[in-house]
Amino acid sequence: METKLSRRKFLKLSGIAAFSPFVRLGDSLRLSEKAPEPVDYGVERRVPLRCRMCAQQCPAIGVVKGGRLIKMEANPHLPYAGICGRSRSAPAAVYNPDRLKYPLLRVGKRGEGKFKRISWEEALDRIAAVLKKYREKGEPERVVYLPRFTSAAGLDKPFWHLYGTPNVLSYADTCHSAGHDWGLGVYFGHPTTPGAFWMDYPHARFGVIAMRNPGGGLCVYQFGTLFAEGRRNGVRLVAVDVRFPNEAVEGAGRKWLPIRPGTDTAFHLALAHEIVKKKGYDEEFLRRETNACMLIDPETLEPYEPEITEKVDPKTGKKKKHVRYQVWDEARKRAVFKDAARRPALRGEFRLGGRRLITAFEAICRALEEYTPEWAEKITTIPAEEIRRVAEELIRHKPRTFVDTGWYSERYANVLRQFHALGLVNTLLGVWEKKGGIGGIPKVKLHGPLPKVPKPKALQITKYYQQKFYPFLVPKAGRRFVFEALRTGKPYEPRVLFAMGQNFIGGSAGSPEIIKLLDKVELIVCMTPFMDESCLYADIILPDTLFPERDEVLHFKFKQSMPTVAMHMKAVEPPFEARPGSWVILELARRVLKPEEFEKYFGDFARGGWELAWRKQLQGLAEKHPGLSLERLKKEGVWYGRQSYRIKRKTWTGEIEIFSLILLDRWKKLKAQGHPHADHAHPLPLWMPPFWWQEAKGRLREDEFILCTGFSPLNSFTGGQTRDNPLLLEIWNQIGVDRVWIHPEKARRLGISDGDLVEVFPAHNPGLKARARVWVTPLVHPEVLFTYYGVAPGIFPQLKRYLAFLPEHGVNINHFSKFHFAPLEGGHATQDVIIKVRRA
Amino acid sequence: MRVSMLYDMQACLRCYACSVQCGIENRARLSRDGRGTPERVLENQRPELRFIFPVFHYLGNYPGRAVSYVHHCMHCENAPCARRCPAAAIEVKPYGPVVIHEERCIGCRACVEACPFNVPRFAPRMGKTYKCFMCYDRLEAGLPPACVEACPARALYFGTREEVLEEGRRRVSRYEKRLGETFTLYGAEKVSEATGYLHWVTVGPAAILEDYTLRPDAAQKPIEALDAVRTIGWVLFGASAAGVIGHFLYSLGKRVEE
Repeated sequence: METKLSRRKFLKLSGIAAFSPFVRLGDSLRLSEKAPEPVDYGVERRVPLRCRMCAQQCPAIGVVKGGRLIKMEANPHLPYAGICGRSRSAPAAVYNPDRLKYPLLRVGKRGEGKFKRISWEEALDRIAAVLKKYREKGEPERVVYLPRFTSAAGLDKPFWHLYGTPNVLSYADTCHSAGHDWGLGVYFGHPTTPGAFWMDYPHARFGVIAMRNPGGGLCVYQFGTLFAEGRRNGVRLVAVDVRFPNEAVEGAGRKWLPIRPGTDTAFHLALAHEIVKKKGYDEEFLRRETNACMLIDPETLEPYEPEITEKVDPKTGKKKKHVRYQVWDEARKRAVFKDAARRPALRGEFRLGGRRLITAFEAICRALEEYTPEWAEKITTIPAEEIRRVAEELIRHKPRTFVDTGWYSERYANVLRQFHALGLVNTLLGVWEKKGGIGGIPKVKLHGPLPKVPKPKALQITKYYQQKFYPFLVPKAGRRFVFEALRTGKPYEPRVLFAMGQNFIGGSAGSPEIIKLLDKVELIVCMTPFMDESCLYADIILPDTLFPERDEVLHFKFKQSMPTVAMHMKAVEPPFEARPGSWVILELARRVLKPEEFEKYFGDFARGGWELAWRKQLQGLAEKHPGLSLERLKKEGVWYGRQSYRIKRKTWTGEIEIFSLILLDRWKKLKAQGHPHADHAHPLPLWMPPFWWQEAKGRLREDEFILCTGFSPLNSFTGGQTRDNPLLLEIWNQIGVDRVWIHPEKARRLGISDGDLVEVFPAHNPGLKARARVWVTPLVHPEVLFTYYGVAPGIFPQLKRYLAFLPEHGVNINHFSKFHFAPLEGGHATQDVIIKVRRA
Repeated sequence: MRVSMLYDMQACLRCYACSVQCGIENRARLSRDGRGTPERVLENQRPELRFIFPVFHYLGNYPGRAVSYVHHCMHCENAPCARRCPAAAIEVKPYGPVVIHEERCIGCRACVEACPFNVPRFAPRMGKTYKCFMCYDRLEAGLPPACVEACPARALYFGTREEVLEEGRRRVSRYEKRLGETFTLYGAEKVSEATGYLHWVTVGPAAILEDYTLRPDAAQKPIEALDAVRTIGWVLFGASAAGVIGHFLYSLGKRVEE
């Protein structure tokens, strides 16, 4: 019988079948199949290591099966253990086919991206020959070493110092140095990195998140688990951000206040204004812990007849200034030294021998008078009543509250002022060193793995700029001044760049200008596991290992509330010819140093390896820190001590300086020099606008934006381990990590619809273009284009040739930004340029 | 004994570590089952293998509200997907998890239609449908599900049903006390006739729960109606069969009488 079942007939029949009781579906099924063995069976080793998918080194465990890293786990021996999604994607980075496999030598022009394979012997000999030349010429300082994600930690700095160059420079000037470090540091008398403070999220009742998104820029062991615990405990949060930071403030009891980019200073000043006006400050704290009562001259701001002594620290041999100052004793109605006062006046104006004197706090209050919430609303676009509400919450919950001290500051020119204002709010509330407030991070100091190396004599490039124009520059954190030295020839032109993991082009504001300056450099070496912008301009590329493929020095610089020491051991073999930096440094030391130098400093390590180095690092520490032994570290991977809230103070008064004498001193000197940006160092609260504000006179045109970035919890920087990761790309595609966010009203006026491809370019250089997909969303401030940091090829589409899992479109603000420096502190102020958009 | 999962929306950091780990675990499963080397399985884009995955959109006008969360199987008590599967590929474990067996799946997508939470994902390249099976291989070996192990915020929690409900209620009351808003433990009780209660319960603010697909009375109404009609069909068939047999016996008796 031949019957053809037409589609129509089939549907009819199946329609009947669906209603028919005679067609059985699987509803009365009983299977109960035995589960297969979990993948954890047959695991050979669980190796303690520290994750390096971002730079924060959360203690983790590498799970090895069949000689392969199959997954990552959090180290379970810590009270605040945890690793994030980037870390968990590490196996996808380790076995990524895009990894650099062999040493490469440039054959085309710089930037062309043409290389040929060479042997390690040849690569090392070529590098060593150039290094030797500069050492023999007596100019070792012309060699610059740029470490990040370094696989030679503990060996590289001693080697370069021994070689003779002081120019070992980090990338912190493109991150938190020194707007954050000195803006907050002046309260404590020394530059305070983000590793100086921890927010006590678990005990806080209310927090303002302004310069960090603890969920987006997630560093789990450093603060992520603390933040999560706080959220589980029901802390109320307000985020001041240019975009809705869903990672931090989605949910009940949380709020987003959109802010105009680069105007946070005004918001913080208005908070301080309200706190003073409502007398919401902690009087007791200000009297006892700060120099708020210091009597000063209202005109010159100089302290009234202080006693200044200089002591030499017997340990370091450094001179330390000490200032004993006078206050108005309300009990005796006269000026006395603070330590002799019974009841020092906090506010007021006093007459003394024909002189008018006020307290430092009085001066601050007067300076704050003009910074009303209404004033701030005009600048920040945050409604005045919202600012008042935040101030009220802060006052009500103090000291179990804080304005988060933040992290990545170097976005705008005025960040020194911004963090100074942020520090003022926290000081007024008296939340420093309080439970539920802000604590200081304790550390255990370990020995170096090598014998102590003498410091090189030559002038560090950054020190020159610190002395000349940027008094708040932190010298070890100023890699962009290497290129400034190339531009100006001062103090001297660097000739060799050795980048150990630093992507100095893709990660620095003004990439195109930096590239032009590279012509003067004789040799550029890039050591990294993946291609990046900088590699395109390298003469020699060395294939680095990824972190599970090497042993490493013990690490103790964690940003946790408790001192921590963590082990790092090799879990799996490196692929192809990838080698760790520690091996490269040792080989260079062998080739470049004199044999007796090598023997003296590297001999023991060359013979005894990391085992010996670890023992040296821990020598004599177990007595002071019970349980801190190599055996424990090898077994459990970590050691931790007691939680602490104490913040280190090095101020001249020995107190928290709400009126900073360092600022006063620098400000006076800069004024005397006639420095155009002297007021960035003003010791009193002061609003300073960002560069873009000055350029646009506070008003952006319709097609003008500020391109802002924020971290995604699934990307870190411009390193290939996260931005060229097949597993992360899969998830990026689901949440649109490479998109550029644009406000619906702005989009409508520009004729841009959701999902469009647009051209993004800087107003000052329209020739620089990058393409991006847009997301039209009300989750972003109208004057802002928002994108996650470092995910995209930007103006270097040729990178796609080497990085198959890099998103096709997207922008990198550093490519667009100018080669400028933030006043006085030298940060890269990367977002502080005007950006335009048009349909592609 | 039954097991359950908890997702605490209020605690979740949206870091998606759970989703990454799900992808890693499932790739490791592929190489365990001889379906690729440990290296090769990591290169391929297989989004359907992440059974817990991010959703990110927004609501309202500027300043808008972000709606982001991790989407996952609810492991319903009454598992509408299992009831609909014509290939008997979906198994409801006696301790709770609803497990789909890849090797039996015929890719008909009946489960996709039946699911009130839009969970099963059909992968055209493989011709099969995928969804969470609550790491039952790990559970039966005494390990927690991979995503729970991965969560740095303890927003995911695993335990016996009693433990999970207790933890969920504890979180609800703490949030309510601190924040002065009503919270719900979604799935602790029966959500709808179709689903019953859920083996994956959610803690979240009551006012916005529906924005996160957590509707009261969640069900695929037309599919359930179809099922109801089928059930009625069985009843009618049973009744008429009984009638026929009854009549036959009756007539048989009558015949004997005669």
